[in-house]
Amino acid sequence: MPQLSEVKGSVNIPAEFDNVSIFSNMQLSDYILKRIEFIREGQEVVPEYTDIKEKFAGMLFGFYINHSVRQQNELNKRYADVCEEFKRISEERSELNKKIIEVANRLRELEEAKGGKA
Amino acid sequence: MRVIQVLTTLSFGDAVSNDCLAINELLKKRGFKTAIYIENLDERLKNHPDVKSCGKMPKPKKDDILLYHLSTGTALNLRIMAVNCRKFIVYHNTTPPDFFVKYSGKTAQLCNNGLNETKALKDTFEGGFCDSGFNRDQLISYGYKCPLKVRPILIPFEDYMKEPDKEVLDAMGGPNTNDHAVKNVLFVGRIAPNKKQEDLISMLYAYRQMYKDPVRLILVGNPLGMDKYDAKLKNYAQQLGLDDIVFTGQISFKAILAYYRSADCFVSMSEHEGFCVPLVEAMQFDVPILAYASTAVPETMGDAGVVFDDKDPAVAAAHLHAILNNKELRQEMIKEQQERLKFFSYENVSEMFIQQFEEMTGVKAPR
Repeated sequence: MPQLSEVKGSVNIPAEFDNVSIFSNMQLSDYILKRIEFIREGQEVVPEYTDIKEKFAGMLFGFYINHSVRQQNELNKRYADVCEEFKRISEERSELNKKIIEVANRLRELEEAKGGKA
Repeated sequence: MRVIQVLTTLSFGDAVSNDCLAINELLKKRGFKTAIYIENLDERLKNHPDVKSCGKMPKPKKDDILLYHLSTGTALNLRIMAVNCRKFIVYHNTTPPDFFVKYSGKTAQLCNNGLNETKALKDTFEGGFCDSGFNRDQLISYGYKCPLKVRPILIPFEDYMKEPDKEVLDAMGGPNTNDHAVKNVLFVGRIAPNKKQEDLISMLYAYRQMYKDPVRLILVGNPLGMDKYDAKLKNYAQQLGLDDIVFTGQISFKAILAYYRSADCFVSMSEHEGFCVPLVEAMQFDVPILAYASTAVPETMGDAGVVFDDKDPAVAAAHLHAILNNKELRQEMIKEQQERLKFFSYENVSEMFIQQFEEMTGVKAPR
């Protein structure tokens, strides 16, 4: 194995991985986009009977099964709506952040042009 | 007498599947009757003449030899106990569940089951084949008393001679024989917390702070089932202001070849490997390797590459800078890696496997 001269040193890393959120500050993460896709795809729950016993029970208690399926579908729909809202707000926030950075840069330029603080 | 291989999933490109298919071809060449039975059959392998679903497995004869590939938790692990024939384990290791707890309860559960089931199977096999000494030691620590042989994973190297994806190769500045304006730092491995891709991102940040020459980090790997970890990695890179990181996601084999061919250095920060095939692949493509010494990594590397044991990003960045910019060092590393690669050659490993197989089973290969 080639020998490298012993290297010592450290660099201050301004963020810690463990503290990073899966939801980004500046842009919508892939994670939430995939979740929305997943929820929308699986939104409509349909009762499935795997064997004859379940089918028989389904015939007897079909009303209750369908009732809970409808409830689940309603919950899924609301969850997907919340995710969509989250997506919209994140995009808006991202746009606003960009504008803030632009304004801050413009302000700095103006201060520099003026030769002192505004 | 037949040699039957059983495993949970057979898919394209993963190390366990490749090992299983390569063993099957090797045993067939040596005159054995073979078959592979799979719990989850990939649609693309439906027409493979030797691959069938576990449900279609006929009752084995007592002298049949069953090679059971174990790498994760599955109901198959315990079902194998009841099979009445000569059984041998091919152990590829299971990732410790702790890595996955924060990101996927399902994967953590699978790994936990895998560990417990491996322990439960300790008296099931006549013997075993392990990818590394690290894997063998782990089985011994679980109470395995049967003879255990160590042999590297069988890698069909001719696949790597295929044409790489030209578009990807051009986008990365051509092959690594070119003097790249932006150096390509590569890691290949599924996006998973045990692979520690975040440490590669930290290393890139340290590199940017310490040196001026431009480098690009390429993370080749499928994030399937690891969406949270994948999102966190991307957000971490964004928070550090690192825009030169390529997350390829799942890509074609041709594209993987292109990334290997264009890589100036292969860096691994992985903290759990039972063997680590990408290290051998990097050797095959003459890419100098910088690897963190964990689990089976030092064993796979032998005396080749640069193996370090300090996870300080600045230290890794300094090593990387030396490898990228010191031509003599690169040449020396590549020469040593080529030497190491001979050990993993198909001829050497297949001969080793057949010898171990004959010793272990007492059955001579017909050819």
